[in-house]
Order: sequence, then structure tokens, then C-alpha cells
Amino acid sequence: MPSREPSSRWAGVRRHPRLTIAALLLVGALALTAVLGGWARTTPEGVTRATPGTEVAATPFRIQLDRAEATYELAGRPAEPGLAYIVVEGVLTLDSLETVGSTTLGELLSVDLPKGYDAFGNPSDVAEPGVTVAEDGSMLLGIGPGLSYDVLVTFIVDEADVPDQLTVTLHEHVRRKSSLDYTLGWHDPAPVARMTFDVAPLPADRPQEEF
Amino acid sequence: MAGGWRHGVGAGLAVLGLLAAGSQLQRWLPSDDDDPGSEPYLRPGVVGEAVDIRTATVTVESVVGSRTVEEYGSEMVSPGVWVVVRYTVVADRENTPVTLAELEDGEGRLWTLSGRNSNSCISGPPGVEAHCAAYFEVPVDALSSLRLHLARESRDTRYDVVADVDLGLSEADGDAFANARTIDLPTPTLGGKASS
Repeated sequence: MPSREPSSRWAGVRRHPRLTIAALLLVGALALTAVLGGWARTTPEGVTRATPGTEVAATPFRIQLDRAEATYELAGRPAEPGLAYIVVEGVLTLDSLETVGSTTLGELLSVDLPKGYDAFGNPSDVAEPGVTVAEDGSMLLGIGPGLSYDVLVTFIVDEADVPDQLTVTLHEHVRRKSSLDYTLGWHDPAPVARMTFDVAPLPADRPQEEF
Repeated sequence: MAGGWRHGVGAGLAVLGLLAAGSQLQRWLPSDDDDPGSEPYLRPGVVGEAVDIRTATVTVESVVGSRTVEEYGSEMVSPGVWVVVRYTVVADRENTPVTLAELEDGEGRLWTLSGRNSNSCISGPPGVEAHCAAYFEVPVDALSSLRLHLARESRDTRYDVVADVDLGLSEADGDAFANARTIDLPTPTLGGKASS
């Protein structure tokens, strides 16, 4: 009689134990997620397309962005050599009963720039927004209830990377307790609207620094 | 090695099970909202009145306002008004700072120390006056019902005493503040008289 390996439905499992473990963990995680309430879109309507100059509600903020330009100088602060500012002008209002800090404010918007620099000139994989009060040039690191500011939302980029157009994505937050310390706060930023601006180009010459 | 993958699967499922059980248990545990006894005790006061906050005594000395404040030569202009409060802290038994300073109005709106708001206070030794200052920007319509909260610890006020000081402002102060001169923000000092 020819010898024959005993066939078993578990043979594949035995040959690929790690793959099997990973698959089981995945199934377990999905089952756990379902048990705990499942996944739901935080923005059921999806991301809307807004036009510049219109006010968008991005909880807990309302923001109106009007125009974008590239510049070498922001509120008297010249850009570092080789770098430039992209500035989006607008009006920012808080729709909340309590002051909101810089983390939530920084998560309000993102742009389609490949890379950028932080406020200290350090390279960053994402272009981080800075919010400046237009009237006095100070940094806005949070906003209190009932206040509305004319703001300059700024991104620092390589001079050579200034785009012709800029797409801004606005994110809304959800107020809930933190999973870590159970304090109430704004979490889970999710895109709610996008708008595209023509970027006014850089001036022909970089202003000379005064010493 | 058949036992190896079984062990891994078992451990993974055990971890997931414990996470699920922990998450469910967390929902059953009482939250801060379920424990009103932990709420900070608000001790009311008015401008000029000493308020005992258990580990120190705080006294709001003055309240001024303007659309513009100046610090280190830079001006900050508010779309509302700046409210600048000077207060004194006298520690009871050990060096005690006041790190919680916030404004609340009659509508329940709360202005904390994020953004351009700030509180400057030195941790003074027992019996020595620490002259402190806090400043906030608020909308003009909040002025008439503003109350200042002062407490030792900003991160956790449970079971603690919080001074709840009526700033005594009115709608008329809104006009006065809007037309007032730029305020040079005071710096905190220890002992002696407050900085001008």
C-alpha cells in the first residue's frame, strides 16, 4: 500500500503559525470592535467642498478663509533664508463654552503641502499651521468663548516649493472624555470641508534684513 | 512547536478578553460626575476681601481693562477687552503658589489660561505677600457677570477650596475699558508693595 501523509485541515495552520496568529488576532480585534460599538464615521455627510470666503463650521470652531499668498515676511518677522511663508487670511471664532487650547487649534486645518518647517525653522514631514492675530502679529495659541479674530494662518515652506494653488482641509472635533485620563476634551479630528485657493506668488525680491 | 502557536493565540485572545472586560468595567465605575462630594468648594468673595482657600489667603486688589496690553515691548490687541487682575497670596504653612486662575461669566462661559491669557504668581513662603497678576481677554458682553476663580492647583481641584471672586464689573466698564490706555502688564513680586 502506498504510504500517504495523513491529510489534515490544520496542516496549513501548522505550516504558518505566525500568519494564523495574526489572522486570529485580527478577527478577534474586529469582533471586539463590534462588541464595543463598532466604527462610525464622525462626519456622516463626508467632506464637503467649500468656496473661499464662506464660513465653515468645524466644531468647536467657525472659520472663514478668504485668500492665500506667499510672502517673505509675516508681521515684521522675515522668513529664514531659503524659506517663505504661505499665509491664508481669515476669521476664526470659537463656538464653545470653554477656552480651547493650541492642540485642538493646530488640528483645525491641514494643507496639501508635501513638507514644511515648524515655527523654529526645523524641517517637518507635514506643514504645521501657525495662527497669528492679524491686528498685532502675536501668536494665537488658544481661543476663548465669544471671541472672534482676524487671523493669518501660516505655513513655512522652502522658497522653491511655493505652490500655485493650496488646498486646505478643515477638521472638526468631538467632545468626549479622554480614554487615558477621562477628562473632557476635544478629540478625534476628522475632515469636514475642503477649499482650494490660488496662491498669490512671492514678491520678486526678498526684503533686506535690517541690522 | 504545535504548542507555540496555540500559546500565542491563547495569549492574544486572553489579552483581547481582558481589554474588553476592562473597558466594560470602566463603564460601570462611578465617574467624577457621580461623586458630587469631590467637587471643589467655591468660597465667594469680592474685590478687596481676603478669601481663605485652606492653604493660603487670596485677595483681589484691583481690576483694570483695556483693548490693548503691552508685555516686553510687544502689544496685544484683543477683539474683546483685556481684563487684568492683581491679587495677593499669603501662604498659610508652606510655600504655596496659585496656579489656577480662570474667569467665568453668568452664561457659564469659562476663560482659562490657554491662548494669550496668563497668570503670573510666585510661590511665596508662609506669611509673606506674593503679589500676582492674571490677565484674560473676554468679549465685552461678559464683563457684567465675571467672576474670578483662584486655587492652589490647576490640574486637580477636587476636594479643594476655590476662591470665587465677583469682580464687580458692569456694562459701563465695557465702554471704559474699550477706550482705556494700553495696560503695561504687571510682573509678580514677593513682599513689599505690588509692582506698578
